[in-house]
Amino acid sequence: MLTSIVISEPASKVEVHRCTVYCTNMSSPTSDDGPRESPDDYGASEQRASSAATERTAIDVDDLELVYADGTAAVDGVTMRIPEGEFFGFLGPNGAGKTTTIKVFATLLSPTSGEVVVNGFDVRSEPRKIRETIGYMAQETSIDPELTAEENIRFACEAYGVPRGERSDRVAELLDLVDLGDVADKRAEEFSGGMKKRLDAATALVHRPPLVFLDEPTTGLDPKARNRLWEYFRRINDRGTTILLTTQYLEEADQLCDRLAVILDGTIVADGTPAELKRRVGGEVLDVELEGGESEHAEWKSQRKSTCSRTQPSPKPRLASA
Amino acid sequence: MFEDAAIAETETGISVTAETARQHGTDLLVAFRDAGLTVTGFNVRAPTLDDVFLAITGDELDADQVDAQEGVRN
Repeated sequence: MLTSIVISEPASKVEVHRCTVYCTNMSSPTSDDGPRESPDDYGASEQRASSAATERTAIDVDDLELVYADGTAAVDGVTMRIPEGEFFGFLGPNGAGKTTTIKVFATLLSPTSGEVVVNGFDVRSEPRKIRETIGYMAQETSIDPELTAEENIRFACEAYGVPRGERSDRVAELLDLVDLGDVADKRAEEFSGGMKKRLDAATALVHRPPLVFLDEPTTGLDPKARNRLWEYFRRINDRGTTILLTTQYLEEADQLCDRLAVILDGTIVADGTPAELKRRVGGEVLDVELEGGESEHAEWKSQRKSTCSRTQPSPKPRLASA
Repeated sequence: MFEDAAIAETETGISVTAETARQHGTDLLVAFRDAGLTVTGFNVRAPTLDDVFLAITGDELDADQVDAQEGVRN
């Protein structure tokens, strides 16, 4: 019974899904802008690439820029490296450039300039190789609500070309990984938001990608569902999968990530382990609750200014560098 | 009192970040009393990523607030 559904209409739906994702780079908004590399960049990126190869690097980025046709620099000079096996986080508000950066890594957008090597492949010359070795969980879930959990994963297997003989094992393994084995035969439309996200994460893993992008995977979920999802992301990372997560939630970044980059206006303004970043804040924090109105505080603050060398808010990033 | 402090206004009062925060907590309370302000709560803690974000941007990353505004490019 299952097979008949597999080869019927919804199968093409899945393919359309994936195609939409993959074809996005054809209509890249950067086509009007030429590369803007300076000659100095070449030597530097060559060095990076050769040393990275020996260290087993999942993502190696040198001075990435992405400028939209209207002149907006969505990514403005990002240089970073993610070693294999790391749980790395992009933290920043909407519009900071997190998703755009990930889309470049996933070959869905072409960079305006800079070098980007993902799983050892260049985004410009070997996008196909990259797509075969990454999993991408977009903000919008790509599961089919009319299909069961099992069917969804089975279709993903088909779309990603998992050998027929391995599909059943793969489906069972992934249902188990995200604890959906008990509801394998239930339609996805009956699932809670958190369950849908778990299923979506499972479908992104069918081809056993060594690198997975999770783009704001818990936005809109309640705290309980969010917590639960974190556990699955940890499991995926424990299997040796490198994860690049974007999030607006500070707690999520703190709980999950080995290392973080804070992104603002297309630039990494701070990076390090959560502990390092906290240390750079400098010392400890005294929270004082006061009785009375804002005006009193403001007055008190203005008096304090003369005795303090720094006051908030500061116009520029003021974290000490590592 | 503090060599190198950062002060931020919070919803309920203020927060002071400094290397010597713990040592000078009492002095701060006395200073508040002398200034005629009533302290209703007091806590010394290690920095969180909220503080990191505040230090970098001068603004908090309020996910719920961000949720409400659709990102133009994202």
